[in-house]
Amino acid sequence: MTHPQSNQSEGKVLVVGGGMGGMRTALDLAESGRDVVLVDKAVSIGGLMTQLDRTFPTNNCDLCTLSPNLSQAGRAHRIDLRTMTRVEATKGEQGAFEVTLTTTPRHIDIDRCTACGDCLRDHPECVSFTPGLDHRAPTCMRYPQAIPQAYSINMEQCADVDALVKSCPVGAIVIDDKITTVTETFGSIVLAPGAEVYDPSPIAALGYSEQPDVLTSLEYERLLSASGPTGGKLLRPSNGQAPKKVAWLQCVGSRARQADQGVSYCSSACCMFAIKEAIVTKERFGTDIETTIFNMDIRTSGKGYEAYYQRSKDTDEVRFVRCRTQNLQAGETGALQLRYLPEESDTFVTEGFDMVVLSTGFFIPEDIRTLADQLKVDLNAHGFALTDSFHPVSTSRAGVYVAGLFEGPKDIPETMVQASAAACMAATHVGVTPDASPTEELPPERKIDDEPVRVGVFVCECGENIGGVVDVDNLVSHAQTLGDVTHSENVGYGCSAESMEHIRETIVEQKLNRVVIGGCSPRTHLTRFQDLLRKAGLNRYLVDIANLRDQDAWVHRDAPELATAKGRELIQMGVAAVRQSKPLADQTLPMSQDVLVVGGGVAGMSAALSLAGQGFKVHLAERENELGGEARNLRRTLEGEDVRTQIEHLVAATEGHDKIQVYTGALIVDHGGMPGKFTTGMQVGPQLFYRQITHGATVLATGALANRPSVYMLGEHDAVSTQHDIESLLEDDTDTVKTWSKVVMIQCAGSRTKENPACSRICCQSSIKNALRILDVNPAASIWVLYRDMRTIGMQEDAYQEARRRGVIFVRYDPENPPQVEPVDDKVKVTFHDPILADDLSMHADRVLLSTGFIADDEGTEELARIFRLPRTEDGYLLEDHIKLRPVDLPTLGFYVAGTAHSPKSIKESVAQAQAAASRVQTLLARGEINLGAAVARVEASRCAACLVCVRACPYGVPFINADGNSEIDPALCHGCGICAAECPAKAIQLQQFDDDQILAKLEGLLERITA
Amino acid sequence: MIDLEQSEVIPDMWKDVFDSEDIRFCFNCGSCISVCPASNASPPLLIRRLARLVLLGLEDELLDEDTPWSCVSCSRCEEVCPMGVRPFELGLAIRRWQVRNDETRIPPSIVELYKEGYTQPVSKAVALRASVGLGELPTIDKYPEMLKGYQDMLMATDVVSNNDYMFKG
Repeated sequence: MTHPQSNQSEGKVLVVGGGMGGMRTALDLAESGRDVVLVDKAVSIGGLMTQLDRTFPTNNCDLCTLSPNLSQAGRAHRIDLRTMTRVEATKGEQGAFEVTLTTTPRHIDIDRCTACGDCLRDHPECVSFTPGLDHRAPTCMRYPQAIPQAYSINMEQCADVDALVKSCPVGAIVIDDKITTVTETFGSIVLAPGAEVYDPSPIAALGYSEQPDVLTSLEYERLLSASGPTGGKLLRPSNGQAPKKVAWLQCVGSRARQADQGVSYCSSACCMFAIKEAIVTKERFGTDIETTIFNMDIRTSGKGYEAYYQRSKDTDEVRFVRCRTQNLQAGETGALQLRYLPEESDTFVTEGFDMVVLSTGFFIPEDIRTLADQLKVDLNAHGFALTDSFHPVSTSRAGVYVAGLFEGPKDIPETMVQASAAACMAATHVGVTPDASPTEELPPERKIDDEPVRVGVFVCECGENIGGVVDVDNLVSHAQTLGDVTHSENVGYGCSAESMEHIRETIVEQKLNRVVIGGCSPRTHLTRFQDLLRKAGLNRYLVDIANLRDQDAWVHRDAPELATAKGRELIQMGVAAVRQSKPLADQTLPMSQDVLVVGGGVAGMSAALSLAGQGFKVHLAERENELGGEARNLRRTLEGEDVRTQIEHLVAATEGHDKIQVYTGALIVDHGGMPGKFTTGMQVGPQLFYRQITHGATVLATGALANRPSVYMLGEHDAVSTQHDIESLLEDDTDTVKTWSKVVMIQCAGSRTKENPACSRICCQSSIKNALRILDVNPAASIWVLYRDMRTIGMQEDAYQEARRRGVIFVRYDPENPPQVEPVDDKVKVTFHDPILADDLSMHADRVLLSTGFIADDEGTEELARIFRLPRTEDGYLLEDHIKLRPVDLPTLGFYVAGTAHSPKSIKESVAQAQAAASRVQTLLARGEINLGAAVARVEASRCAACLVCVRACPYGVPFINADGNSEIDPALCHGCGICAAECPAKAIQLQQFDDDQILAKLEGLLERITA
Repeated sequence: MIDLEQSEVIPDMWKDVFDSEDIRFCFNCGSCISVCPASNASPPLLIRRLARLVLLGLEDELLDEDTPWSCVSCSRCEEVCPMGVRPFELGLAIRRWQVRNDETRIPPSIVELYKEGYTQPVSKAVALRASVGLGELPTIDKYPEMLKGYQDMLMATDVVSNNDYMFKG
């Protein structure tokens, strides 16, 4: 691995594309202390994912998991977000790229716009908000939680500009907004422009252009979505009725060789997409809705995906039909008739469906190819950026990195991994800069202990959002009747710049010392108002938000009077709580900047080198006596790269790096501490010498094991071996390979079984790799692959196609009726059923190769998981924090996972996850100190009876009985979970920020019936 | 059960049958047969099965197949095949290959052609034609003299006259 030179400049990074990937890259870079310019050609960031309704595996709302990321991206002051902006030209090289950026006018001042929607209401022709199905309409603010929270105007379509300007209550419309072009210098560039979804109109047989009930999967997603055109009701576009039968057709526009049928590769995400849509359809709209997925192969090879697929069949009764059909006719009853012959059947079926969903895949559009051309980045034949297995996010141009769909079709977790990996690589060219935020002089915090409580209540109208339902003036006058309220007013748009400044002035002038905001959700706005209080010279914990929008106006639109009554009670609660609140201080501790990496395979070494290259001291602990891991047994990748040489380079670089301390023969034995300051003990070497190290973060890259199940005579007959076993034979002993005239490969040997339910992900591509290698050596060989689903995801599909072109025969087998293997002298007789010929076939193979895949290192990870207190999946892999959005972070802060310890994956995916882990580590360690927050438990010693309840209840083992005989809780160690406070029989423990007094006051405030 | 050790297996048979390697891309998706009118025939014409027999090199089984002869040349399979296998061309190629490899072969559809004057099940569409205002098809069986002349003409060919027992009765 050629690690980038440390030519770090004090520059910034350009991230192109504000989808999930671009956002993650920008956030990682910002959190690790780099300045970022994030550009997106669209009017708001979020990309394709904002159009999804719910995601696997919990089938929860996407926007709810996404919007915290969006607000982070909008908020982080190191991220300069520029929407409606494109890259026009680039010059220079890594460390100093000169990039020209052009921004088209939005005609809206983002800082003033509060997204009230008045302009849209009055002038819909020039402002558009269409979260609907019509993908041709200009979408200006695509979804309610858009970042930036601002509309955009198309001046050309506007007839009455003056009226439009007047329609805006905060004067945010800018008539003479112009195209701006700037040229700036960047140390490195990350490309995350995404891809587009295939338009199925050219496939006339599928009737997409004529039949309203034929939809793409993304359109179907919009129909399911609460922010979609039907408000979240599943209705047929043709007649507005609820469907009873829905069919999904897979691979529409993917896996094709005929040009007008789409692209040749597999789009990788559509199988999970369809299964999820089918499950959500049944879960939300009625289990009696019949859902059918027509497919060639179900490609659920990601982590947890196979279990989800099995669940969809067994629990949700989603039906899977193995075939494609392009025979779609409108029936007389209005149903869409599909005619098909299932692969295993000899009887044709004509079946009516109310809706047909086309699972359309991804392609790289012309404008992204142009972008690549401007950046002089090499693309493959399909328009995806060229990368290699050992540099998974590095493009052909030094200093330019890639993440997400532009690197190849993929699902969300792989995008998130690549995004963090790209952040890691981009950071190598750009040094950490001191916080560049305008360090405005904050006034000292006012001492309020001696002041009488003076509460200020500020209620937002937010245009129609709140004011349209709730009588805001009624709330304001009601607030004045509440105890200790000395000021109360309607602030219109509370979060607009003017109102914020007005609130600050009012706090100072009126000497307010508690503040209640009646407005939006604290989830999106609390930090903003906390910052405001601090600017006004108050402690940030003296504010409370009454959520009048999400929890009142939005949900009680039909009952304005009751909504106003509820609003009064929400304000009462806020006032009651804030009267009890006290100034609190955040607890901090310095962090260790050292990192422990456990596992010295490809992933562990890559993570260690990435971190050491950034100047971190790395301790690398490997259980075996040498570095390299499982990859030592691999010789080539599917793409033909020489694995052995690359591993040798990695080992040499790791061992030779002065920032990396390698411990071989190392066994982790104990662990303690907290994120930013862990201590881990291990026994090293043959003498089991004990070493203890202090580290701020931990990367687990402990790998998985090559599976070796006792099936198909493996270990009993010399002609049967694993795909793994012949790696070296194919390189070093071609004479033997030449003697094989008939080779049978059996897929899923020991994977997707009761004992090992997961798909091993890599076996389909490795059997194709080996089949092609055998044909290279022995072109006359006859090769048969017996499979359940060919899972050649992404561009691996091209290799699958090539294998067929070169004569490899692929036959599906049913796990209920697996191939039979019996010895015939030095050969093996293999008997199997061919569903296409509807007959059994038998043959004598010279060699049977089993695709045995991976199995979790159960013993090893069980012990580590126990020591580090980390959860595992049912099948023994480490369980990440969020399977989609946080695939590298483990649930305990400070722990990150890389490689096959997470799930079976390729070398390329392992290296990407290792680089991603390195990035995630940097985001943590860049904080420099551990902020323990203000929510920590405190013991009132006089009340403590030393009963030990808290000592036993604490999940982190923090409370102890001190020399005075009282329970003591170290605020530096407390996680603020509150369990001890709830358990303490003497009420001696209070969780600050959530005092009993405060919560009781809130309840009293709610239940108090004050009649005017 | 087909024992590949006993059967006549010719690995490169596809080269003899078809003019290009397009056939080797077939992944049995079934698109072709979903749109095939002759898949209604009995036995059905299943292009994916024919492609498999060709690729496996199963000579005897392929010679035994009569279904290629029920293709009605609509070419819809050609349009929908995602792999560009050219299924219609493949069906024609198999016909030619069968005839080349078995000079005595009389496809059953020729017998039908001789007897009826046509091979399509046009009688099934009488009601449909009437419903859209089309008249009855002027098929040759409605003109007994012309059918007789047509059969005499066919009988004058070697393939029919040498096997006349199949066409009589």
